[in-house]
Amino acid sequence: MSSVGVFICHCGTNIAGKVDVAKVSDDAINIPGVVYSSHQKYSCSEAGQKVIIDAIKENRIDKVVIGSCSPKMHENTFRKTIEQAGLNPYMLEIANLREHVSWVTADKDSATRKAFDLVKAAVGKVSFAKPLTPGQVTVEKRALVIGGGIAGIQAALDIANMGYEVVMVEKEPSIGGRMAQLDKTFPTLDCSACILSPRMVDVAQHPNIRLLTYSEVENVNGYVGNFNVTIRKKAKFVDESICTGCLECVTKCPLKKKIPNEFENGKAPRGAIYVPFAQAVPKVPVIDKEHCQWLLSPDPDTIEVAEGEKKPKRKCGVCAKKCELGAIDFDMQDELINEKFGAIVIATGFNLFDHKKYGEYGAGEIPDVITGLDFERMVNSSGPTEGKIVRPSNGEKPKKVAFIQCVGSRDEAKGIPYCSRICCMYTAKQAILVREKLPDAEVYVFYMDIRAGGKGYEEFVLRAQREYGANYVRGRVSRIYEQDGHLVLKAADTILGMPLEMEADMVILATGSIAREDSVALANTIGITTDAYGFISEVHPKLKPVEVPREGVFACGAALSPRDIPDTVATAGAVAAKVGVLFSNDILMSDPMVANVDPMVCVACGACVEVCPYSAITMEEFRGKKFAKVNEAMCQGCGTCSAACRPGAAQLRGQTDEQILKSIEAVLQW
Amino acid sequence: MQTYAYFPGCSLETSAKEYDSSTRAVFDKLGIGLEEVPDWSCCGSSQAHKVDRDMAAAIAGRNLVLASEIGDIVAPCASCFMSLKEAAVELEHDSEIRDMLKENGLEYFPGSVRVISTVEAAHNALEKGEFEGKVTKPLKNLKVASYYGCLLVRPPKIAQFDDAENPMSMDRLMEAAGATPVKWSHKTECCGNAYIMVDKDMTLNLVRNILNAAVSAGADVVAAACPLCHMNLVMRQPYMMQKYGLKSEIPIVYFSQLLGTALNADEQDLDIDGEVMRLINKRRQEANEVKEVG
Repeated sequence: MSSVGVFICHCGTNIAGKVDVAKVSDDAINIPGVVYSSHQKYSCSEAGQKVIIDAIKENRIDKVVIGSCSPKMHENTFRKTIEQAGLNPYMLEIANLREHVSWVTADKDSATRKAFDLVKAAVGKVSFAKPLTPGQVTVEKRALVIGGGIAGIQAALDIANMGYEVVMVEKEPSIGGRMAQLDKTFPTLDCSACILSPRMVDVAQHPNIRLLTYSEVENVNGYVGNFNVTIRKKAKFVDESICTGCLECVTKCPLKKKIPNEFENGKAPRGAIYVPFAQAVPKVPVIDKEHCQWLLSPDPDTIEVAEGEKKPKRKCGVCAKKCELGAIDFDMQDELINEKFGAIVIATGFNLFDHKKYGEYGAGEIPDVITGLDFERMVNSSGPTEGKIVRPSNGEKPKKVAFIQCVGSRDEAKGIPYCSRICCMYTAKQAILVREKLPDAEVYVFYMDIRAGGKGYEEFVLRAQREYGANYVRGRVSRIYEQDGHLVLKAADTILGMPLEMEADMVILATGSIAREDSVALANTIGITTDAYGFISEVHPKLKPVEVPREGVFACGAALSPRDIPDTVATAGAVAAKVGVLFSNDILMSDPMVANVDPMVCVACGACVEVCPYSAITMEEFRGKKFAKVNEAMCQGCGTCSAACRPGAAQLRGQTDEQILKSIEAVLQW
Repeated sequence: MQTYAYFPGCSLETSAKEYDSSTRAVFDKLGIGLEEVPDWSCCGSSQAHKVDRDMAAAIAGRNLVLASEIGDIVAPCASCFMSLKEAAVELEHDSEIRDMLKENGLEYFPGSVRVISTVEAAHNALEKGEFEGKVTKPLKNLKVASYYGCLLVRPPKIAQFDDAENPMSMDRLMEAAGATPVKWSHKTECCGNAYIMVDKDMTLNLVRNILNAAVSAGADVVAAACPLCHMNLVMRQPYMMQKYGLKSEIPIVYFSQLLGTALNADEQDLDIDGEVMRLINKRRQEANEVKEVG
């Protein structure tokens, strides 16, 4: 028989305001097995913990129930407390009297009754607790960073500067991401490329960073400190070790004006062999096998022709002829790389909403209606128009430019209900750029309300209005159509309370931020979750903003939710710090509250192997008897196997069937 | 043979007889049956829902119950379509109105009747490939501005058909008929018909904008799918030519008349205006000449 001690916490008035703590404590002494019961104001305080330690020692308590706040809050605190008193830290059960009782129950009597029931259940459960000892795992001190935008770059540099090895995987031919596509940044108006390029170069030259561009993560196995990752290095058909980046091949590709360049948002062409932009890192071209004429034409070796006839030759091949170094290798194949990492950082960024869904704005078919990203490329001196702001329909300077905010964002009917956070600011910036480059042009900004929360942001919007004379109109535009060579906008001015019809030469839509189209697939590969929109879910939005629910995996930047560059860089730094904390351990203690399978009870049905979401269970054989075995380092303690196991061989330590049945029994009996 | 319950509505027996006969002819050519709802009554459009929503649902609901004996209900008039469809939605959620109907011997089972417009029915037939081989007299070279008006695709939650802001179904039907649909700006703008008695100038202004937009887009004809829009666009034209000076006059026809022409339906049923017919033939001829030259 165990000797249980019960400690009821007031939590100030948080619990005591609704629960008669003295009554619960007095009644608890009558529960079979309980040898001691008391109540106190703040159990988690130093004084409160001392009371617990002293009581354990004086009353020879060997198991402890604490009626307090959620175990998420203080379970670890109290485990350490009872360990100081000489008990195994797992001989503890928390009855959640705050979140489960006092905060959610209106009536004082029923709150007290429910509190006592929960204490009874905890006593029943803890009576059958067994001492547990954590296991140990080593830590592979190398980090994988997925995504080479500003988030990944910042995280990789910070981790590498701590002295740890980093592998960065980027699926595009160059790192740089969205920030590389931007012209100027708000609210300082400094040039995006100027502040980003040095960091891109730092990544490429850092002795601790290995850069794998044109590569994707294909598979992730293992657990914190010991992830096994398979990376697909797509064939570039250009040998990186030979290529000097002279780009002679790129300038000679016959398709160089034929394929829309993704980097230019499709508004300028590239060839089949290309570097996406001038400052690309690495400055090594890749061959796009979907378009390359050589790679698309059939291999002569596989074609059979009648005797005397000539075999058809491969088409083109100009780049290979032009490359004096012989860096072009048409036989190159995708390469699968297996690497071991201790931590994984997700920095995969975001996409932009496609305004094709907006029939009222021309469904993407009016040439002079462009997106904010189109404008970024247009106004950039290395973009399709070399920085000139012109109407795409006729190449003329616009005299009147309208911006429409919240396209896709905050639109439950057609887009997404959330605010994309960056559009108010980038619209203000673009309005300023129009007025700077075309001082004669009129600028109108249609908005719902201005969300400029950030250092210097509100001032920036006011500058756009006051110094640069952008006209802000509160109201939605309901329709845009072309008429006699210009655009007609129908809108409502909700401050004047009047409908409004306006002509404009060019319209720029502030399309909202959405998750990457492959973010859910990536989350599945890594074994983590996304929210309803496809953004990576964090463990806690406030207190664990960069941790994801798989230990050793972290996320930063716009992969988590729409955010601007300052917030992205801040979370990237936070991730690096978290990785540093993890890597400061040579050995990690693994949570002992994991599943194990009793081989004597196991009937080898394999149900647990199938249901385990972490692939932690395998079938083993010993002296002819088959049974399931749990890899305790991989087990996350979810208990799915235990629920699926019919004979009851799979048990979750600290949550055994026996303990759960006893806690139910305790509520019903005593 | 697929058979729809057909709800002509009052306009198709009076001001829009050609819409009725041409619709029947088109579906006959497509091999789709239209069985008139027996003893159908007013759909309640334009007025009933402004007086009492329950009453509006009950008035239209009577027709739904009668149609349920036959099958899904097709309404050519956009206003009838929306009244019936709104009633179907209302009846699904409101058991009191259903009880009221039941007391009068009209039991309605939610979901038993689907309400669709003739545009949707024809578009469904197109998607099923039922136009194949039947377009024997294509409307070559004819530039058509498809005019959807307000009620055919809106409100989207009730209409549940096509894109509410940039519908394309009628354009695709016109393409299937061999015509060239034009891209234009005013395909879902209001024609202002409901306000003609209240604020004539406003209505005229709306009509003028629609007609000018169609002319600017280079359309030969405007295809309508609502007897009220049709009447409004046709009747105001001469007056407006006088008062405002339109860019040019443009004929307004029902989309079913054009489809029927392409499907080689009986001319008498189509009752297409002689001048429009001459235009159609002129365009066909031009297309053939281009072909011969080419």
